[in-house]
Amino acid sequence: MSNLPDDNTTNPLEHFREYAVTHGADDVVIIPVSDVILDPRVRFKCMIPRCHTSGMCSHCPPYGHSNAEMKEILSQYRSGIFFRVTGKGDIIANPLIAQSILNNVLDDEGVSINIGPYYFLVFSIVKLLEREARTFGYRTAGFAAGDCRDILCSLQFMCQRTLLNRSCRVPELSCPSMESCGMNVYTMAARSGWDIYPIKGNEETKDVPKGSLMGLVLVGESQSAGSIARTVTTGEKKLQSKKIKKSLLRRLHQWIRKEKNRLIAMKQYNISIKQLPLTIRERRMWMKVLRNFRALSGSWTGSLRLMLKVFEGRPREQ
Amino acid sequence: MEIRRIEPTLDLEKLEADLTVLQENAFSRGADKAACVDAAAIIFNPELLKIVAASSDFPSIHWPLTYPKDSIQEAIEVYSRGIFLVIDSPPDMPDYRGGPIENEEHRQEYLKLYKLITDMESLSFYMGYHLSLGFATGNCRSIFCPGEQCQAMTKGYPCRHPYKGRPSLEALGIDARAIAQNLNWSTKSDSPLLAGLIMVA
Repeated sequence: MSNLPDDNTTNPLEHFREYAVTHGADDVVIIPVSDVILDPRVRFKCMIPRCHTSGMCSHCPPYGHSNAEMKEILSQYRSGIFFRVTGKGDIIANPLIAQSILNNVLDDEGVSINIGPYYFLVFSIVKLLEREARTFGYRTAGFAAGDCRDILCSLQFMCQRTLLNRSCRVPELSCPSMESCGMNVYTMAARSGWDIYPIKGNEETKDVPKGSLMGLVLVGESQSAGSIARTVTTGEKKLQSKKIKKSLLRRLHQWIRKEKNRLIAMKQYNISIKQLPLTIRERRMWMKVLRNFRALSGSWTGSLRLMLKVFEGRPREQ
Repeated sequence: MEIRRIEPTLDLEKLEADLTVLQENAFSRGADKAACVDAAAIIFNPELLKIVAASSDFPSIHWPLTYPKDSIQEAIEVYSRGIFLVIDSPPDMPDYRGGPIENEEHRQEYLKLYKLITDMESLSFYMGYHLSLGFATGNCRSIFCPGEQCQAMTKGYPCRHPYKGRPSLEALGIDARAIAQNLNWSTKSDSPLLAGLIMVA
């Protein structure tokens, strides 16, 4: 049974809407789940022609949720918090991004690295909304934008979940995108009254007034909030005891190896000081992301740790 | 380049006008024949799938075609209109049936078709038909990765030519020859039909 009240004064959905805005969303609408458009053509847009990460990320087609699976998931929810983060055309629609993808090396100007915070913001808003809704006792399912491998494992040459059958490297942020689950995001955005332009890498920035990245958090039947809290605490305690057991020397060795791999990967992908001017220009976006990471992790140290985790490197095979 | 805003609903009158523009563009970009077609005119022939399966000594991610979680036929049935086009093949070109194309001139003809389909799909996308999908002819491995293994067939590895390689009509079971005949286009039974299809909206 849903506990979603109908009157506006105590409507938690309105609270979630404001919460999304506070954490960086530019536009937010509350939609009934019936407004989520599933279209069998959407997943094929990732596969025809084949996108550079199709098959490489566990959330992307041909993997991820089929339309039939998504219908089943949607039937368990009642409403959705649909939001977007907008960005300037000279970043989101810059042809240098397409070149970087094809060459597998980031551009010197810093465009490819500075599209990162726009995506990080969408992922972090999804996770924050999910957590907030769960504290109210709701069941949630979150969907972001883009493939999480490119965004959260950009310095890893593979998705370890897909290729090595290991658990996801960044579960704190990772989630499927709306489009990978067959949602017709562009039409949903247009029907929400947002100005949305098709972007795929062949355009000139002057032709694109605005870029948009969308996210969706479905909320549904309430669960016992207490049982969720106990699970988190038990999990954290197990993790703590594992950490103490590792010797200091072993941890130091692992840290050195990790940092060495990060530097090698950064060099391979061409992350350098040349990209700093644009990064400084985009500092407000980076700060929004760091604030959200802080809200997720509980501290500024945690925020920086999460950022470092996202930029953890695994050098490419030569 | 004009990039159109995405509309909340499909304007059928505008679609017809845009299809005419797309058809004209197909000719100016190298198509020898091009026509606007209804989705109902797309003919699926399961025998073609058997032929593709039988000629898969040179396999690729698009030959034969498997989508474990998705149905391409279901996706195509959602469309209402598209552009069907043909590039005339050289008279000496055999039907390579998904195998390697050793003749470089012939491979270039296939490349010309793939580029045309990519350009048309892209044009249609920027016109606001964001779900437009294009299909070509032949095994993309023969065309883009001659002499190499198809990397995308290995789990966790990307396609070597992302955004270029795409499935063919025959690998989807779409009978391009039957569509061309229904349009009263002459086709030579002893040479391959270099056909493409862009489903627009």
